[in-house]
Amino acid sequence: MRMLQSLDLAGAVSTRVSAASRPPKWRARPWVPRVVGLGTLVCLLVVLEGLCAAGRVNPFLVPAPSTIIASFPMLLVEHHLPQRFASTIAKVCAAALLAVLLGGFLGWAFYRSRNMRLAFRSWVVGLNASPSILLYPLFLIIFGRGAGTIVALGVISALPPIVLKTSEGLLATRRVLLDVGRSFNLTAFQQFRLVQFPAALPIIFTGVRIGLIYAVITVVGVEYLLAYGGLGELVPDLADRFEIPAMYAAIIFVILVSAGFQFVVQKVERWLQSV
Amino acid sequence: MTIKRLGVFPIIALLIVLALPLTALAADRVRIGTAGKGAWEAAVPWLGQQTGIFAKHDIDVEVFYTDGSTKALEGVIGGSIDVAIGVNVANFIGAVVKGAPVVMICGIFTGLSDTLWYVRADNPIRSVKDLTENSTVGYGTAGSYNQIAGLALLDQAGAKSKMVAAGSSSAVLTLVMSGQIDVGFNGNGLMGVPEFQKNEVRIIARGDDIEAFRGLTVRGFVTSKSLLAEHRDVLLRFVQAYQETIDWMYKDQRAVEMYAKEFNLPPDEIARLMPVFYPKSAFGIQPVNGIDRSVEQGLQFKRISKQPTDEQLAAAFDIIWTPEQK
Amino acid sequence: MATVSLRQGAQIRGWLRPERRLQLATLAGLLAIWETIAASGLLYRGVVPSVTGIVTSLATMFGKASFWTNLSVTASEIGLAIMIGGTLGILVGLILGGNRFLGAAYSPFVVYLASTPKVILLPIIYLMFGIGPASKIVVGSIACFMPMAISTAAGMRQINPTLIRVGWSFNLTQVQMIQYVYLPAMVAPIANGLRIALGSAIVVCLVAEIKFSNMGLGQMVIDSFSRSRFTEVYAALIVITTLAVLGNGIVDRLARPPGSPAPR
Repeated sequence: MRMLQSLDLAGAVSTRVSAASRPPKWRARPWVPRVVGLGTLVCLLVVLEGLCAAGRVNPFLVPAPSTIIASFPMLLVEHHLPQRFASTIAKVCAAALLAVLLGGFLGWAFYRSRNMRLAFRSWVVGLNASPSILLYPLFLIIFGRGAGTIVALGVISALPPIVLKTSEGLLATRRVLLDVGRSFNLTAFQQFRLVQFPAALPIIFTGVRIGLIYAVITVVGVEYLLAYGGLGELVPDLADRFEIPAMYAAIIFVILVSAGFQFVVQKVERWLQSV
Repeated sequence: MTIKRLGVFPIIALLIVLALPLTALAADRVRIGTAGKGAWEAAVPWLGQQTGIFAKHDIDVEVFYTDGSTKALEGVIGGSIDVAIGVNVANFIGAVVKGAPVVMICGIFTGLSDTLWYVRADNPIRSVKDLTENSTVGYGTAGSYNQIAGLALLDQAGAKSKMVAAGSSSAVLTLVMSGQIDVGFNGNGLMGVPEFQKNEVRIIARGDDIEAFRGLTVRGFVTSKSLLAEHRDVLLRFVQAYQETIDWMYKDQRAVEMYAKEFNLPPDEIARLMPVFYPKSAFGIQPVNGIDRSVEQGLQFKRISKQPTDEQLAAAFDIIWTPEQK
Repeated sequence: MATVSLRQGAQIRGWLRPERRLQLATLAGLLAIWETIAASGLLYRGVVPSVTGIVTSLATMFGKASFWTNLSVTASEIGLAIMIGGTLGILVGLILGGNRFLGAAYSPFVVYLASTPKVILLPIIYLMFGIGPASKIVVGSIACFMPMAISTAAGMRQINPTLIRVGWSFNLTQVQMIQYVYLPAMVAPIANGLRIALGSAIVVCLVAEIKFSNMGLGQMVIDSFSRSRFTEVYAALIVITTLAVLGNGIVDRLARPPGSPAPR
């Protein structure tokens, strides 16, 4: 009896195992889940539109999706959406570029000097954990009310992941690659340029990607706090003017921009990892 | 981190959330939202509470200081604030035109006698005539009366200077003193401001200078339509208690002493300057005068997006009580 | 003649290790630069105060009851945000990670929303939830939900299949599988997600307190700043940063298996 039961169990396990290892039917058509996902979103919007039309939700706080879409033209023209977008992107790029240069250098320094790494790694980790955006009022007084303050804060928040990942990537270069380089009698600089840096690039780029996210969050956050222009000022300005549908449209725009940014950066990261 | 402990987390969270005090207008508790913490005008709820005048009318107030009066108005719309004090009339009409379910139940201040514009003493600007395109003029927050007043000041002087949002009167002062902006505003007559006492700042314009605001009710009390419909009697008692507090503040010397002590200000200076900047004729529960002029200003300075209809205006104002009615 | 044991000798040498000397020297250098700027009068008075001023403010702050009230308000807002957002995030992550179809359909939404700056939601959350702690808890929960869902889903996908098969061989129900196989295997990714969630919640709750709150550390910072009490601002920032770093360190400990050394 027990033998039969254990045979049954084995059968049950093997059924589950083979079920798990068989590819699901939709795998042949990878667009199916994406369509389902988007379709769910569309259905939710339709339901919301219906609730608004029936007067079941507060129309002031939750406007109908159709009014939100209809407010996009006004957003583009009257509220200068493209210029604000360009302003925010410019600050993010400036912060990211400075952070990559400074962070890359510091990460390389950590890789070269064990003492520096042991001394300051914990400081960088601490900086990563602290809400550096709160320095904004002091930066406001010291550096003035301008793009410089915003970019400076963006650099501070983007720096830690870049530093940490750069040093991690360089330290993680496989010995066999270094040995191959040595066997070709490469100089130290050639070793770095041709072996270590390319090998470390995927990990370094992960740090750059995380740093970019932090830079976007900080730049938009400080624009919001200082009411200084760009997308971060647009959303609260619309709220203060009680242009609620346009405010939702602006929020959706920011989400789409961040998503687009993320998508592009992830594609680059995956390409780097495959190369 | 064992699994058993993980399972307890959601239950604890739910219990705490349920235990959070739910917000609703208790029979006689009024949640007030006001900007301008530290100003004489904004001290009325606190003084009324301290002296028991509100309690006499069976009213208990909870004061929330917001970052500008627009935030107080938004709080009324969202339901976390019952009455927003000191909302600019033009800004309020702008919200009504957009469909906000709010109503103004009385005015509170006529004219701009409490507002001053100043520069740091070493700034070459001596009056509004010296303002150029490169000058920067600070205001509080979007939709505040000092924003519209600043715009009107520049308009009257024909200056094309840039307006910069700075937060509160004190934040503006910090920006002026550190050289970030040229002109700051103060909504409390610069009373008790050390920089003013030490002549480190120089006044370049007064609110009374602006013709467009003379005799105009600039600020009022705003509440939600549903709250007015359900608790009209409570709001009536609140407004009456408010006026009684203001009457007391001008009759009793203790008002100045208490106010000066609470906000660390010199009492004799307050006693001397307060009647100048807050004349009793301008400050108190009153009908809203000059609505048409407020609409014009709101349209001109883009706080109102389109001309309100007569129906919208009629529905937006419901003066609950004035002292003449007793 | 004083003698020193081997261990004491090692401890003394520990303090004189090159990295310690480097840390101390850098710290001393930074402090010297700071004090020079503070004393120079180059910047607006008090915006870079002397260290003694900041330390005095710190000591005074700890003695004020209002500080502890503000601290408890902020801490409870962040704590509740983590509990609510974290729990929901783990649940959604289990679903998205466990079911490949649902994961393929809905993970992109979570991933792309995660990269959006949450401050953009603050105006609408204030309109809906008002000036009290509720608005901070809501926005904090949203900020925690994303990283927890993403790391839980990722953790689900990389669980060792052998462990899953062992669970099946014991004929465990789905709930038992979650309780005894999935969650214990995912302590590290969940703790990693928690670390990101904590940082995110702290920033977003403090920004919300700065913009619309009567209570809390964020509101305390901006109040001190607007009265030009800069030493108080620095004191508050030091406390906030220390707590954030400590919290991060505690969660980091949870992420690592017990006994493993810190990463170098």
